[in-house]
Amino acid sequence: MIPIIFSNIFIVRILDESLIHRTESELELQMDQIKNHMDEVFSISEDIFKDLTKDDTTCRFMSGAADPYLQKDIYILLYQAANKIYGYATISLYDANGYLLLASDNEEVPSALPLYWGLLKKLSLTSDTVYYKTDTFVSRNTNILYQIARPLLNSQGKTAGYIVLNFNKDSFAHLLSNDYIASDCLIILDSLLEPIYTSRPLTDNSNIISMLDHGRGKNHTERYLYQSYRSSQYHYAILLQKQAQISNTSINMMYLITMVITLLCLFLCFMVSLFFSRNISRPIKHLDQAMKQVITGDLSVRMHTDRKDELGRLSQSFNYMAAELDQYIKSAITRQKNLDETTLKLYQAQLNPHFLYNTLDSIKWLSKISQSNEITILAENLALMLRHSISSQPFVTLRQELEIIRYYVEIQKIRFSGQFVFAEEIPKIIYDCLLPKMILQPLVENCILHGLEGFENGYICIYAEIQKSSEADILSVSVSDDGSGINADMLDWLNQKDVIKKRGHLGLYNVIQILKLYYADNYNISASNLKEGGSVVTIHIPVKRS
Amino acid sequence: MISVLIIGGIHIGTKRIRKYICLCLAAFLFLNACQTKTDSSSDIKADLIVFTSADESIYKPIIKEFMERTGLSINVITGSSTDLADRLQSGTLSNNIDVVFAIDSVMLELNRTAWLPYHAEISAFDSNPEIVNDGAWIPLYHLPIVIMYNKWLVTSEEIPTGFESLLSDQWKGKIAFISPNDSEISAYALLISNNIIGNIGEYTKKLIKNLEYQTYDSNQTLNSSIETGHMYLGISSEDNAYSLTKNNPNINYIYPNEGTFIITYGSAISNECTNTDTARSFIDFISSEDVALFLSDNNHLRPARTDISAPDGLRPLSDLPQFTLPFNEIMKQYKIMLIGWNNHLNTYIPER
Repeated sequence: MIPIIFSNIFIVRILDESLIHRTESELELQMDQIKNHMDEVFSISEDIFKDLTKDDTTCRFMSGAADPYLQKDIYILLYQAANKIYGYATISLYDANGYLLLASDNEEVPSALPLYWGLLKKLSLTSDTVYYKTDTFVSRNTNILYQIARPLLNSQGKTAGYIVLNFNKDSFAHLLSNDYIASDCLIILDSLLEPIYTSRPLTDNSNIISMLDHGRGKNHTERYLYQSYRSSQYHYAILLQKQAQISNTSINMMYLITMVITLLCLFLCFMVSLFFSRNISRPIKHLDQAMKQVITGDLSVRMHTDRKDELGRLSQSFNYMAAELDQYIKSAITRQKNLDETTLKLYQAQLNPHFLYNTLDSIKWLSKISQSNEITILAENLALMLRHSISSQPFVTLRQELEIIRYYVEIQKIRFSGQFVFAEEIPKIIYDCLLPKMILQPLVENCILHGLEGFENGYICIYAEIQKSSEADILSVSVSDDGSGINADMLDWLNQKDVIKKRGHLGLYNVIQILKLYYADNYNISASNLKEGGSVVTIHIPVKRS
Repeated sequence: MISVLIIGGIHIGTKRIRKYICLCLAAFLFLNACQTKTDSSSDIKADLIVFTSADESIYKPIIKEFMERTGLSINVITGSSTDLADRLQSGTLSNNIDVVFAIDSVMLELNRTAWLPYHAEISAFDSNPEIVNDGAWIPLYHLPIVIMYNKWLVTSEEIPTGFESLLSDQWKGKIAFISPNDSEISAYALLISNNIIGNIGEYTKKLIKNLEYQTYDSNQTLNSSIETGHMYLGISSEDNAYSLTKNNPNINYIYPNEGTFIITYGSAISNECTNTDTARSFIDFISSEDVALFLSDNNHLRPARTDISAPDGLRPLSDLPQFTLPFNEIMKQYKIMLIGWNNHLNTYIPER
């Protein structure tokens, strides 16, 4: 802000100085013109005196010689002399007693001049030209401002009369009107530095002597420039005062505008600061407070904003983060709860497993003794399945899982008297892929119990493959049958994202939950009906090898 | 600017603030340097310093003539006789005044110790022999007090005879009178009028009432009021009345029959004058025949010189009834009279 203020002041000063410099040049030019005009008039005056005194015509006339030819000659002389200075001055001739004898213009000229006072007194003390400013308190009835006069001496050296050139205000105005403009102040002064002619009142009268002494200068307070000149030859002085092109009022106005602009800038800065404070600091402060609440565990806190800028997006991101965090924690709690329930059920399911296993083993041996093969197979396979299911390993290879399926299928074949055929179409290279244990058994059970219900010579097939993708290889395992297919409700239930427990379909529900628990969102289970009849349920999980 | 304040406010450090102040100061000085210095008026000492209480129509032509003849320069200080008395009392006269010009004789006489005696062409004067012999001050001209009137409004039977006649009810609100605060003529007229009726202050009180508390401030306004008929008559100086009668035949004047007071104006050199030679040449000039003639011809004043006649048509001084008072008595009463005048004027309550 400070550099701006000083720059503005500096510019105003520079502008002012350049204009003052220009005015100074104009002033100098005008002064030269005025000087030339004044000197020219004084020079002409001297010529007139010479013309009127070159022979004894004027002297004889003033001495009172009564000669009509002489009178004619003096008229001609006066007429010729007056022509030289016509428009600027009048010429008058006074006798030795101060009485007017002849004048080129009688109207303004006093009929007599005192010998003891003023011009004639001054002339009585010299034989040279006298330059005299008339006294307004003496010459009350005339407009004459200035007189140039010379005494006329006769052959005996005595004063025969006086030749006087009279200048009035109009004379100076006529002479110098083209040399200055209305706003200038031109003052012509006499040898006593008393103003003879003033074009208009001076700004400061008290400084005239000072300005004449300085020659040239400027007054920054009153905003004027001046130049003066003193003629030692003709005993007059000129003072020309010119107003600066920019007035004090304008300079003050410029400074005022500068100050107003500065204050305006200050105000704008203040407003911008206020704006930033309100629009940036305050939301950040609110965000900080909200973040602290989140840190303390309050995930219900939200930022309310309509802004579309970065802060708005930041607030939205915060809200999203808080909501997601809230959701995540809730789902984690739910998952933990479900896990706890499952664990509890597992524990319940594992109650005395060895007792069950041993019992089944006893049944197997009893049935062998009694040669009941089917019971033997049932008991043996069931025992193997039980053993498999209660093992502590959560993942098994596809080979092991298929082995359990075969046990199960054998049990079901005895149960359903071999009404279906079970097949496996699995490349050997994917036998080592891991998958959660007991994940395929419910699918096969579904095919047997629901898909092939009421069908004879049913066909159940498990096929698997590895699907290559850019991110990770996917193990795809499908269980299909050629039975009645799956009804629409069931298909919708199976293909939805978040399945809910459904009565009579606990096995499938458990499969989905197990997949969800182990793979989160990195699994897929889909079901569809086949065109040729039957249905297929496919599980996609990331490939993981033992 | 605000940043400076804020920095100052939170007390970051005086060094930084000093840096800002120095920067501002440097810029200010730089900008100031761009400005050309303003010319100061030079104190040009004149060859002579003159104090006067005279009207400019008197002192200006005389000063000019002196300067034309000698080429010397004169600086004129104007003021009233009271101003001069104040300067004398405070002791500031000698500091800047060489000569006092056209000051009334009461003031000159009562302060005669302040003047440097100088015997100019004294033999030509007709003043008090005491003054002439002493030479402390030089008399220049005499000025009687007159009562002038408009002949259209004041018939020959009604013409006032003197100061006391002005208290008549017939002139109530018809007398033009310059305030004695602005005019020595009015002050002296009031002073002698009070002495004439013998009760100091009584005349002042009655006159103010007859003036209806209206006064004028200059000869110009007083003359105009009588010429235009706004006022019927007025108290003035002889030169003013004489000039007016010259230009306007409807105006005439009389000398009060109780005796007029003739004020003599003179000049003196301050006894602490630093330019005594110039001062003496100035005194020689103003006491010269030329100046006496000029005062008579141009200003219609009675020259103190006996060899120069008074303006045409003026009665000789010896023919005029005169009222005189000792100088010290005049000075004693002068201030009392002025205080009384101002008190009466200030306690004026307009009549309903």
